[in-house]
Amino acid sequence: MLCAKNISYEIGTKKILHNIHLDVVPGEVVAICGPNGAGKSSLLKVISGELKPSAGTVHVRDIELLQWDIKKLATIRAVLHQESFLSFPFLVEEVVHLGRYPYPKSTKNDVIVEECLEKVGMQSYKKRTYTSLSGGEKQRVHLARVLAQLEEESVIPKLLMLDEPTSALDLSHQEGTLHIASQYAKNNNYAVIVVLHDLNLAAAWSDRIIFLKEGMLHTQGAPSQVLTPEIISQIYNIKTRVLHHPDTNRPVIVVDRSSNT
Amino acid sequence: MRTFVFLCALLVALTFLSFSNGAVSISVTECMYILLSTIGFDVSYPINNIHQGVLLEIRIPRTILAIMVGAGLSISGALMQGLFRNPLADPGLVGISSGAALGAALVIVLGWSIPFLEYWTLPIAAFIGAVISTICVMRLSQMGGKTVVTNMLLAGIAINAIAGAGTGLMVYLAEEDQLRDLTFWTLGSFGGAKWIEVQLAFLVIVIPSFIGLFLSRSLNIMLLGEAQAHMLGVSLEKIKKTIVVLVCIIVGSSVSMTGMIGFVGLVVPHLCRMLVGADNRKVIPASILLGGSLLLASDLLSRTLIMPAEFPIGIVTSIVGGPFFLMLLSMNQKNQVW
Amino acid sequence: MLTTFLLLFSFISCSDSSTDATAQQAQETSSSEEAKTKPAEPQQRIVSLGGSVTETIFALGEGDRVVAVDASSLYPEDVLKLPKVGYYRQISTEGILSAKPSIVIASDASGPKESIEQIAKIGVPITQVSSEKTLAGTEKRIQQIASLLNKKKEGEKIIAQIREDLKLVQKPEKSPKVLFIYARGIGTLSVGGKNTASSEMITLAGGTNAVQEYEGYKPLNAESIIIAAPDYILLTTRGLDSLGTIDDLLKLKGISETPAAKNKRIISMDDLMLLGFGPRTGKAAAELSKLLQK
Repeated sequence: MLCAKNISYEIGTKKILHNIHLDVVPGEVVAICGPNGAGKSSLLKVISGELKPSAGTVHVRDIELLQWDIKKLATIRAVLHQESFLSFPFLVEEVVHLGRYPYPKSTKNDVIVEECLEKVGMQSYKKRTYTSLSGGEKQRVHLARVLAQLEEESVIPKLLMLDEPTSALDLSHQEGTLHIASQYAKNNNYAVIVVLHDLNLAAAWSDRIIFLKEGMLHTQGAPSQVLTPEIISQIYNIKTRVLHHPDTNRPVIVVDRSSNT
Repeated sequence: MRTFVFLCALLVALTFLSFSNGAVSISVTECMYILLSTIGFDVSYPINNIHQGVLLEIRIPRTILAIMVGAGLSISGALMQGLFRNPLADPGLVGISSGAALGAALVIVLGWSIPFLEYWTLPIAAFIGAVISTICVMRLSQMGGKTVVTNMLLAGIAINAIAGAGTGLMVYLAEEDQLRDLTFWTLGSFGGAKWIEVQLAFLVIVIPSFIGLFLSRSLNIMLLGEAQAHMLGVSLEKIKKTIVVLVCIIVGSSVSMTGMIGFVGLVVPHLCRMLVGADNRKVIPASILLGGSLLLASDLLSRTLIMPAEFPIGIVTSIVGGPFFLMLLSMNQKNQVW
Repeated sequence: MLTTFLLLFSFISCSDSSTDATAQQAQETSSSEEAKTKPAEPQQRIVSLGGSVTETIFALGEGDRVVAVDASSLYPEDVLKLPKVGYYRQISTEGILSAKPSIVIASDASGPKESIEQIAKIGVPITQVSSEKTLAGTEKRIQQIASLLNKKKEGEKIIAQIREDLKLVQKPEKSPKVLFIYARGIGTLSVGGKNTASSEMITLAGGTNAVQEYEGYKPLNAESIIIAAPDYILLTTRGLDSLGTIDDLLKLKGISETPAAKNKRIISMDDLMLLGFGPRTGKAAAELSKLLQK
C-alpha cells in the first residue's frame, strides 16, 4: 500500500529523518511512536507528500507520490492533521461535507456525512457551529471528515494517516477513535498509520509499532515484541514494567516507581 | 433560499430607488416612460429632454456601475478572506489599492498623459499601479516555487508602505488644487460613470467575478489549511494565483474607475456569513447581491444627502457601514458566530 | 435589520424628493418673475463654477441670473444664499442640472472632466473660462465672461477700473520681502513659492516674494523662513483665523525669528480678494501696497 525507502529529511544541516524504510500493507494498523522531537510528525508529513524528502522515495500503490494525480490520490489517501486552522463559522455537517470535495457528483454525500458523524458520535452536533466546539469535539469532527473523504464503493484499499488523533480527547473518545481506526483496518482493509504518544494506546490498538529515535528507525515489530522494558528504556530513558492486560493479554506499560523515585 | 430571494428583491428595489431619486426630480412614472421609449415603445407622454438625459446618461450608468463595483469588491473580499484563511482579510492587504492610489497620484500631480488615450490616463495609471504592486507582492511571496501566504501578507505590508511613501511624496509636490483632486479621488465617486465605463466594467469586473464563483468550492477547502487542501486534491498553487489575479483585476479596475471605496470588501462577506453561514458556495453569490445593493444604497445616499452637491461615496460607505458593522459585531459576539 | 436599512432609505429618499420639489417651485416662480422683466434675454439661468468667475458675473451686473454656484464662490454676499453644487473641482452633474441652467460658466480648472462632458452631452451649454491667476488672466477671464453675457462694454469698464486701481500702487524704493503663509490651522502651514497667486499679487503690490527657491506651495520649514528673512508676513483672513490671533502666529517656531515678526508686520486680507484674481484685483493690489508702506 505504502512503501517508503531510504527516507532522509534535513532542514539546513540538521537531520530530522535519517534513512528510514517503511512498508505498510492494507488491513494493518501501524503506530509510529518515539520521544518528543524524534521525527514522528515529520515522517508522516514526508510519506503524505506534504514535505519533500531530501533523499529517498515514497510510493503509494506502487506509484511514486509525485506521479499521482492529486485528485485521484485524495480518494484513496486521507490525512488527519494535529492542528486545524478553520476559523470560519461553518456548521459541523458542512465541515464533514468538505471531506466529500473529491466527489462533487456523488449523490450519496449527505448520507455519508451523516454516517461518518454518527461513527464519531457527533451526529447530534451537526447543526452546531464548528467554531463553538471544544478542542476534542473539533478533533472528532475532523476525523469524521477524513473518514468521509475515503468513503467510496470501490474495493481499492485505502490509506488513512492520523497524526496524534487522540491528543485532545478524553479517555472514552481516545478509545472510540482508535476503535474506529482498527475497525476500518479490519473490515474495510484500510492501511492505517497513526502517530501516538501513549504507548498503552499503541499497545492496545496497533498491529505494529515503529519506534523512532533521533530521526532514525530504532525498532519495529508487534507490540508484544517491541514493548519490553529494555527497548523502552533505550528509547525513552525511563525504567518501566510491562504487564499484561487481563482481557486481551496485550502489553500494558507502567512506570517503575521502585527505582525511578 | 429565502435569503437569496430577499437579497434579489433588495437589489431590484434599490435599483428603482436609484433611478427615480436625485437632485433632478424625475417621477417614477416618467422614469418608466423614458425607459419604455428608449427600448422602442411609442409613448404618448411629454418626456423632458433633460430628464431623459439625466436618466439615460447619468443615473442608469452610475447605478449599473455601482452594482458591479459593489459586487466585485465584495467578491474580492470573500476571495481574500479565503486565501488568507482569515475573516478579517481585505483586498487592500496585498497592496492593490495603495498601488492604484500611487498611480493616480502620479498622474494627478505630475500631469502625465498617455498619447491618444489622454482621457483614460488616470484609470490606466491606477490600474497599472495596482498590477505592479500585486506582481511585486506575488514575487516576494514565492518560496521554493510555492506561494507562501504569510509572506504575501508581509510583502503586502511592505508594498503598502512603499506605495504610501510614493503617494506621500506626490502629496508633498502637489499644488493646492491637485491636492484636492487627490483627496477627492481617494474618497471615491460614481459621479463620472459613463456607458463606456459600464461596458469596460463588464469585461474587467463581471467576468472575473463570475470566474470567482467557480472557485467557491475549492475556497472552502482552502479554509482547512494548505496541507489539508492538498490532501483533498486542491491544486493550491493554481487556486492561489487565480485568486490573486482575479482580485487584482477586479479591485484594480474598480479603484481606477471610481476611486477608493473602502469597507465594502471587508464587511459584505461578513454580513453574508451571518445570513447564509460560512459555506463559500453561498457566501460568494450572496456577496454579489448584497455588495451591489450596499454600494448602490451608499451611492444613492451620497448624491441625495446634500443635494444639489454630492458627498464622496467612500465617506458614506464608512460612515454608514462602520457603525452598522460594529452593531452587528457586538450583537453576534454574544452568539459566537465568529 | 436589512429591512430597517431599506426603510431608512425609502424614508430618506421620500424626504429628499419633497424638499427638492419645494426648492423647484421656488425656482420656477422666481424664473417666471425674471421672465417678465427681461423677456429678450436668450440666457436666463446661469450656474457659475469658480469663485472669481462668480464674482465677475456679479460685477457685470448679471448676479440675479445666477441660480447655483460652487462652494468656492463666496463673494459678493448674495452668493451665499444660492444653492451649492459642490466644490468646483468635484462638481455634481445632476446637482448642476437640477438648477435647470440655460448655461454653465465654469473655470477651466473645474472638474471632473466626466461631469463637464456629461453636462454638454445632455444638452446644456457649458463654457470654460481661463483660470489663470495673473493680471493678464484676470483681464482675459473678464473679457470671456463679458462677451458670453453680451456685456462687453461693462467688461471693458471693469478692466479699466482695475488698471486705474493699480495706478494707486506705490512702488517703494526698496521692494519689501513678503512671505505668504497659507494656513488651515496649526500644523498645516504652507509657504507660497514662485508662480503662485500669492506671489503674483505680492509683485503687483510692489513687494518681492520672499521665497524664490521653489514653485507652488510647500510645507513651512522654520529654518528656511529665518533665512528668507521676510519684512512682512501675509496671510488670508481665514488663514489667520485658523491660527488664532496675530500673537499666536508670532509665537510659532521660525516665524518669531523673522524681521517681520520682530516689527509685528503681519498682514491679513480677504481670501478671495487676495488670491481670487477677480474684478477686485486692482483694489487688492492697491490695498496691499498701502499695507506694505507701514
